[in-house]
Amino acid sequence: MTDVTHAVTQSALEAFTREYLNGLGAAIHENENRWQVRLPSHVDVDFSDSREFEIALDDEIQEGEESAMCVLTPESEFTQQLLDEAAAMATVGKLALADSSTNGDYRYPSWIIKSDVEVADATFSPYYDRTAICVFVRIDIETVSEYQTQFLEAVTVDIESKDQLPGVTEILVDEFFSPKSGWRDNVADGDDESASTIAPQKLTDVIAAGPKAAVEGVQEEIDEIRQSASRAADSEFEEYRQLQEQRINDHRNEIGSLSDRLQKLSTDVDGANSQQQRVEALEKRQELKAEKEDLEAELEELLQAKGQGYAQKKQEIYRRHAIEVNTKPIAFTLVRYERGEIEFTVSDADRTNIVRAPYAIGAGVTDEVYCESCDSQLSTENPISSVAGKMGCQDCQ
Amino acid sequence: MEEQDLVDIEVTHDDPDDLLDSYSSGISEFSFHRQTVVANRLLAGQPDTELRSLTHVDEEEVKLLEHQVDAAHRALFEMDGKALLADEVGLGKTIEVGMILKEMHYRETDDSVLILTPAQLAKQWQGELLEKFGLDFVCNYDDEFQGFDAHNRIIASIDTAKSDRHRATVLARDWDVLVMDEAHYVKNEETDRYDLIDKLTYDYAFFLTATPIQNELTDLYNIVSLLRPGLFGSRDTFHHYFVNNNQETLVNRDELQQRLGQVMIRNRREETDIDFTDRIIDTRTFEPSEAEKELYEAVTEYVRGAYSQDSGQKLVLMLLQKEVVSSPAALEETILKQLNEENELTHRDELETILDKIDAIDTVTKQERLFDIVEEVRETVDMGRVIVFTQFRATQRQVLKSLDEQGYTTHAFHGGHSSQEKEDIVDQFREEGGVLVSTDAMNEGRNLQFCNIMVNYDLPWNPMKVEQRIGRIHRIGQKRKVYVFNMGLKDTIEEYVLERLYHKIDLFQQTVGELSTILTRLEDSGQSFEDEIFERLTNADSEVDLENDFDSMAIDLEEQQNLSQKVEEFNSGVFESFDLGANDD
Repeated sequence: MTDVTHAVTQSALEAFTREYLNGLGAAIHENENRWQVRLPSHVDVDFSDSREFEIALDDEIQEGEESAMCVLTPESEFTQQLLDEAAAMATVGKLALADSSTNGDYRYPSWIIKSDVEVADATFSPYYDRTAICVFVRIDIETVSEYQTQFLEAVTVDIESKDQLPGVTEILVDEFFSPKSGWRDNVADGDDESASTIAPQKLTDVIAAGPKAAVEGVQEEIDEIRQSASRAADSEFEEYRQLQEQRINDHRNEIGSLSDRLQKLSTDVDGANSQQQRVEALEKRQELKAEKEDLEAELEELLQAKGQGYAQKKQEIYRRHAIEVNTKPIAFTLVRYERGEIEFTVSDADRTNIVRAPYAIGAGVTDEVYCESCDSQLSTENPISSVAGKMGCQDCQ
Repeated sequence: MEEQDLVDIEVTHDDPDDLLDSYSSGISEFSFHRQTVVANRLLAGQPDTELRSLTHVDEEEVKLLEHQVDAAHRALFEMDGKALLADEVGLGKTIEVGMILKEMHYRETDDSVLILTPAQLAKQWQGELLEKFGLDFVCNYDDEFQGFDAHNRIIASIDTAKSDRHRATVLARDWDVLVMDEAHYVKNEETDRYDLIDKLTYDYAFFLTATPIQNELTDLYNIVSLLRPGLFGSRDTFHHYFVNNNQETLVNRDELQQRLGQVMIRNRREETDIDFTDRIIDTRTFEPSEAEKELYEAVTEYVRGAYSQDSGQKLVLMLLQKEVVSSPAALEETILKQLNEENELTHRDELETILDKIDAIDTVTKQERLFDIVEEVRETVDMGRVIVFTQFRATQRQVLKSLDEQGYTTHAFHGGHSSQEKEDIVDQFREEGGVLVSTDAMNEGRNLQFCNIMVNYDLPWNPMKVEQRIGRIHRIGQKRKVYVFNMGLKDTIEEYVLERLYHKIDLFQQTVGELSTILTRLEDSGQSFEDEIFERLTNADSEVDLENDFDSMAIDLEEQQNLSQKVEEFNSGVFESFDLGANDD
């Protein structure tokens, strides 16, 4: 799982656009901050109505130019359209990783890296090809208190074993994104048959493994967003709680004041000079009584809610602040990679020895390897070791 | 926060139906597929600013380091083009400004640019900006310079700019960009320099200094206030709010940091990925000849006597004491000058005796031993390049003469040359090799990384000066080990200073940052380093006394070294978290 999210800078956009338009067969005449573009007649694009158009690399558009000019800057509409179109254009691709792709740059196992021997030479012998899928997964993280966060993650999974192959992802990501990748132009497309005969269910299963791994890969970022969303929820709840406290106080005060007024009205009723005055006072008393009862009922509710720690409201607020993580596999690359055996020629001061291990291009040593002297498993903690030319492991030396 | 206090996370995975459909309808050509992935990557990313001129920088001419690119980016985009670049010495602040100016040029926001520097650095700035960044500036020392209203890109000495002749034209313009090197020059708000900068009008400003705080936090206040008036409020507010009365501790530190962070970038050497090459110190002390011993004793005795009678003569006496170990020629010049002065001299006889003793010297030991070093260098190093530093012009002349007589290629560098001459001398030294004999006028900023060997023919009693000498060759760009030879005469003040003081504090391996805190402390405690040395020398009644005195000074120094760690804590308290930028994309 490799994070491949990248800042959208002007130069990244320009490089992409130049390559994309060239790929479409367009002729581009670059004149400082203005590009004249002519698309071939058979190409149909959504981002421009006409086959000939001008791209501005800045926002400084002269009056009258606005309608004819496509502005290519990180936040422009044209950029968005162009990227949207390109993003949907060729979502499935394939390539083959052969020994030659890595220029003999092999991944040494930890039991060699941590050992005291030196690798004098390494030779890989391919036995058979395997297929993996590198899934590119877009992850959207959303919550009410933060801007939406997006990531693009890459995960490579072997189709048969379902093992993740981070080494292969690394090579692929380099290939996809480094501006001057050496083997892009000569990249082998792989054997059509093996790539196009994957059973749909198998493919679905493997692609499904990608998003899960991708989410694990951004767990730290998700946790951070969760913390801050929780703080936002907490402060909203605290605000609510204080408001309710205030309301309880206000209600109590109001009820107190109504009680006083009722008390006074009772005196008025008793001391009324006329029938009419008496009736008026009684009516008023009735009205206030009802008002007081309402308030008391409300206060009762408020106190009840308080007694329960405003659990319902809290739940509501926390639910509203909950984090939604959505994954979408947006593209995948079928990767044919070679498996076989690697032969490390290792040496110490006295002599050299040969160590063999199952190996896959990009993935490194694929299986457990045991000490040829004592049969213990080799590992970071138990690296190979050579004493006076005798090969063994740390355990047995 | 506890788990139960956290909001829920709901994860949903969209079906890959679209992808499966695409797969069944055919696999795309790899180049298109790649563009789709890249487009998705850009769609997921956040818009960001960047240094667009970077691709136009010639990597042959300048190797940009990560912290420099980062500083330029932050100064331009996060600080809105008003920044104090306060990296420690030797991390390439000039490069940072070069990149900023290059970027502004690229974005056409630099119609008029004024760079103010100390006089001796103006030409160096001009050369570096042209060679490394292709930026053409006129310098006030150029023949074509017609005044501050006649050019749009000017590098000038700050003192020329503030002079009566130019001040009005400098102030009459609205500058787009102002750059000020060694910004601590304007730390004092009561000076003409400060007044000039205060009155200048400009849109963008970049101030450079390795030592924003020279003596007290007010320095920082003054510099920052020029850049961002009001950032710290009034002077009184600043003092009440951030500094306690005795200036030993800071208050409201977080807020100070936060505000400083809006305007200041400070990279520290230990936090950058720069590898400095090793520095190898070879201190050689030599037995002086009998005649030299006699001269030394006579001068020391005279200095002691004269100082005890009239401490007002301190400076000249100190000079004599330094000269006697530098060269008889240097001493002779000062003594003759004294004798020729018309005012009444109470020690005429003694001075004349000293002159006789100078005459009695046939062979100058140091000079002879210098040949050994130069010869070793010639045999082992390409073009035999070595820089010999001395404090005195007379010594310089004598050394040059003797080297010339031996047939070595020599170059002289001193403060009397014009800026252009200095440039030429350095160029010739680079091209022809041989020995460059320099006074301490070879100052900050002049890059001599093409040479990796230097000789301290005599030693300044100010350790900072020693470090500055070493810093001329031991800086970024130096690819080889640096060799520093120290020459001293046995049983003289020089040996005491070398062996008992400088080696005690490991001076020759110190960086400027580390050393300056020790010395600032020492000087704050009353006397300067030079004074201390002189007082101890003149007050000692016997050799044993002298040794003890120097030992106790060494102990003081070591104490200061310990105390300086406290000062460092103070500084890091002020500057912590202003290191490499927050942006790491």
